[in-house]
Amino acid sequence: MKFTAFARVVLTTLAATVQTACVVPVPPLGAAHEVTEQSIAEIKPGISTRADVLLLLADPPIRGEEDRYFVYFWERTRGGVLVIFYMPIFSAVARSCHWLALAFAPDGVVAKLRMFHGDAQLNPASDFCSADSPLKTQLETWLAEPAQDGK
Amino acid sequence: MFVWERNRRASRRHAESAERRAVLLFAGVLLCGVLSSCATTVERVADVDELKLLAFLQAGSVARGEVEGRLGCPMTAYEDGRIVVYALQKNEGRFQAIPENDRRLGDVRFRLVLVYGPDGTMQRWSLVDRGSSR
Repeated sequence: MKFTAFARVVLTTLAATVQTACVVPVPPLGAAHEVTEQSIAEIKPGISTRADVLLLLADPPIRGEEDRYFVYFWERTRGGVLVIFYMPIFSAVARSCHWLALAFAPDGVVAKLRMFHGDAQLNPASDFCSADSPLKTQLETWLAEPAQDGK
Repeated sequence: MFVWERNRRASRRHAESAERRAVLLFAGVLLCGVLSSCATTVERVADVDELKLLAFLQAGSVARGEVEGRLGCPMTAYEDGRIVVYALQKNEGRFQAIPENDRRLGDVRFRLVLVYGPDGTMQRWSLVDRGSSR
């Protein structure tokens, strides 16, 4: 098999890249702005008010119409791989989206709360958590249901 | 070229390659470390020293006018202004309110939440850290 000079240069460069590149596993890295289970446990449906929630978690990234519900969300990095060749040249990282939704009664008391967990997605868009349609559909279905034991 | 010289060069290339791989691996591990340090939670600040920096916030005695005189207009309001939120940034050992039209607002770490009573005096408050490390 004969190679042209150009093909030899390309193959040599490719071989050198593959040999020098480094594949680094990305471990599960946690989340940014995560609401802890301890904080969630402090919110008592039927007792806690909108003021209690705001004093605990501050302003929510998603506010329902007339503040009938709040959604706090965060993304969790599940893991993946990085290929580094002098600098990261390729990454495949799985992330999942998590929503804490709180619905309020007309008097401002928490009527119900629920966690929604999205599936892990590979290299999702940066706004996949705020615009995560499966979770939004689940949220709308849940909001339409009457509160039962705060859920 | 003598065989031993070729071997020596190959050996040196191999050593350099191993060294480069080690550096890249270290860089990767470092990158993972940096990324994992980004893991943060939303927590109410309980540190007394930090809360002392907002000592003027005396529940039951400080009026809305005094708060707005010090911090300006709040970032967001709830329940017709009964509950307000300020974005605060810690700068040189002091908390500073970030104006509502500031582009940095989303990245600001602290939120000050104030609840006013019907007479306009502040009744409850809390400082929330959105970038608390575990």
